[in-house]
Amino acid sequence: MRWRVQYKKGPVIRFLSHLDMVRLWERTLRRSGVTIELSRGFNPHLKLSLGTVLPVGLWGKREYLDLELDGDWTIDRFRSHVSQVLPPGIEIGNLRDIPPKTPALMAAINASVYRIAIPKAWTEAAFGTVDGLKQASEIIIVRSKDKKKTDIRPGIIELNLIEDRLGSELEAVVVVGGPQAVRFPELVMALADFGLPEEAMTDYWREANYIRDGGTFRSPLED
Amino acid sequence: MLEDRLRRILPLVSKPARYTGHELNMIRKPWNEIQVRMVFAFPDVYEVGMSHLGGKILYGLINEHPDFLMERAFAPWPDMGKLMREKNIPLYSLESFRPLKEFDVVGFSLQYELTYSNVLNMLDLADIPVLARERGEKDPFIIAGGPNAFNPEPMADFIDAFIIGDGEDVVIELLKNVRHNRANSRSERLRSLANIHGVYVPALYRLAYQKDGTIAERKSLFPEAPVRVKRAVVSDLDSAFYPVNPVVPYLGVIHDRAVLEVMRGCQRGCRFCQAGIIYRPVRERSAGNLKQMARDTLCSTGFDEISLASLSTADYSAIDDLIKSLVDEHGPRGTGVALPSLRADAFSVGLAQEVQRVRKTTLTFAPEAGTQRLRDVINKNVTEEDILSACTAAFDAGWLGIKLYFMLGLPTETEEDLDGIIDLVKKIKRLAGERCKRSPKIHVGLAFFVPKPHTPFQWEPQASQDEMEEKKKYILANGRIKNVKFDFHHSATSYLEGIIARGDRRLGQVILSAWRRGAHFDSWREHFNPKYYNDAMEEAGLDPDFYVSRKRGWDEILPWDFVDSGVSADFLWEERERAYRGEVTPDCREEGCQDCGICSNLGVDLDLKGGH
Ligand code: SF4
Repeated sequence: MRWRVQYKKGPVIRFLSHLDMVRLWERTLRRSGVTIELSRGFNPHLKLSLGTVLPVGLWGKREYLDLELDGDWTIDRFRSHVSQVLPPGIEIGNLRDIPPKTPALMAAINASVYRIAIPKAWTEAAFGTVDGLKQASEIIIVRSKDKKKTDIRPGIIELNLIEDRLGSELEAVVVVGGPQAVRFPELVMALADFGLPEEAMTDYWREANYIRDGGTFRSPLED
Repeated sequence: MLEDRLRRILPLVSKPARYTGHELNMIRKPWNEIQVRMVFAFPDVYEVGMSHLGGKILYGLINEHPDFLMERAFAPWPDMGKLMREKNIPLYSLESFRPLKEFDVVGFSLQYELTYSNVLNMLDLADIPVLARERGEKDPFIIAGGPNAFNPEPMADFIDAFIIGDGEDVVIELLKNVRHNRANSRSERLRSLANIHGVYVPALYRLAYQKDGTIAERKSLFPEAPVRVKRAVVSDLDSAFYPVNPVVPYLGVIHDRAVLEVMRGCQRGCRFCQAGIIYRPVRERSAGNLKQMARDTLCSTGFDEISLASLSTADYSAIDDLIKSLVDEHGPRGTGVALPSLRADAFSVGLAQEVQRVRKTTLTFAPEAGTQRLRDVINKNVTEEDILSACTAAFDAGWLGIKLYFMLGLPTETEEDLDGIIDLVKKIKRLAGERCKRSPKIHVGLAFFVPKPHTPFQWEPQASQDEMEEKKKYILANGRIKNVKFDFHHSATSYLEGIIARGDRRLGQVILSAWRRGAHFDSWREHFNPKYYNDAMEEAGLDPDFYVSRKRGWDEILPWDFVDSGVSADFLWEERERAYRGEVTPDCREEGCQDCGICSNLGVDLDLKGGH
């Protein structure tokens, strides 16, 4: 039985790496008593896989996890077992069973939404940054992994600034995976180049992950 | 607030999750409702400290007490240490993010001489005076325990009080004492601490030295300060506290598994081994309790491996039954059992095979010396036949790798003994060729022998650094064996370890000055710079060879003589003589009491759950 679970990685555990998160889920599921299938081989481990890597330092509102259950489990029973043993910062959202042939999360998720909180004092400047980026025909940054100059404009799907009482939130929808992928640090670099430095960001997180097909976005939990 | 500031700097450092706490099973008690607050300080990086068993025990034990709390702090990695200084962030605890200065007691665990500079660095990062005599009324008490407290003198300038021996009972006594004496002056409070059994307060003594550098006299200055400080010991381990809900790190740490302490102590009697003396006699936990502990720990942590920890787990009297039932109960869910260093005999391989039902691991044997003659000298009661038959059994069972540990520079060692190591490895390699389809990995670890206090070799000279390098060269030149990897300890590290291990109080100024010159994380090769210590020794007018290469006599007052580990000096000396005569001494569990003096001296007994 294959299941897909949506969860929140809260701010207190924002500095956990992808590998730490895999470990966290393995242990959580072992504690819960939920029976998960084991892989074969010398070092058996639980069959589970996480969605696209969330960069160290970010928390995530809607992250995803696939797992293969062993035996009959209902959603309610699963939820009650797991919610009793969750570590600090983790919350479980929606979950459902998925057909066995569903593409893996890593391959399926191709768009992510990042949000950056900006205080009042910087909101004015942030509007300028968003306009500037939107109008730019290319946005050249130096990629950290290979020091190559790259245009990330094609990978930025949408940019918005949402004003609120405390200041504003900048929302960026970007491509994940493939040659156009935009990594979060690259986005931060581009924002800085266009007038919004890192010290203007009081918080940042990943708001959501999507499977994008042309102009339509659907959540990994939708058919 | 501090957490907010950290969020900004943590993206700049390696492994930021070392500094953020909030792990599963972390205990954060309401600060204001607690009477005495202690922080456990480990002078190495998070991943090392979180693997340490003693810390887990104290953390659970103290936090169970309604009036006390214990939080944790580890040595920040140099990148983080530097940023903390730049941004004025004091060393803080991972539970409540409070500076160490706000605690009543800061307790360091001393496991290894090369972490001492980190103790100073952590105190300084915490804005606490590194020198005990410069601390004021409001500063916390800095205490220290662990195996290295059995020669506390090199750290005497920095530590207010040492706990010597098993910490469980002493630390609670100490916290009660702190609570009781709050109104008194710091010096009165220190003197009161010295009344506690197992506590040593170095400021209450004065040392005088002879012209030749040896100790002339050790004087106790106050009636509270006992001439000899007797080690504390938990006589009934089975009923002692054990943490079944330890903090579970998010980061991969060194020992990332559920740990069961099956017993404390070992009386095989290896003559180089300090642990064999300072944890004597063997006290076991019952198999029934251990099984329950395993269940509870797995349930509270979600670990996928159980490690049976002790100095010599194969000697646990009910080991067969314990392993079998752990594997039967937890194996089906993919949970494995791990056995630390095994004895090189077929019995141990049989145990390991039981464990293999779940996962394939590397087998580790420590023959320690290459010839029977030298193994007799060190009282390592294992024969070449044992070793080879253990390897045969392992290869037949399909093991993928074998690790062998040896020591270089043991007393009486000659070239023949080095050849013996190479020959033995060659024989094992040949066996592997005959028995295995695919050649298993053979890994040979070679450490340099460092004589330790409270052992029969405490009077013996240690090999000089040149000698160590020569031995290494000899093995490398004569031991070229395909697919076998030789790994040597760093000779400069072993040399410094040797200086401090048998050092006296005067080394305090050396450690201080080396730290001021930049020493920290000395146990990490990329950070170790022996020059800091060489310069510091020279500045202090001390000769390293006085500590390392000198043979001590029976009459000499050794810096750690006042620490009463329970063992009689006569026994140690007699063991030393027997070593030179090549006579072995049997295990008192099997052949009856060998009169080491510990049981009667400490009022404890062997405690074997499966009978003798
Ligand atoms: S006193 Fe005797 S029985 Fe006790 S540990 Fe020493 S040798 Fe063994």
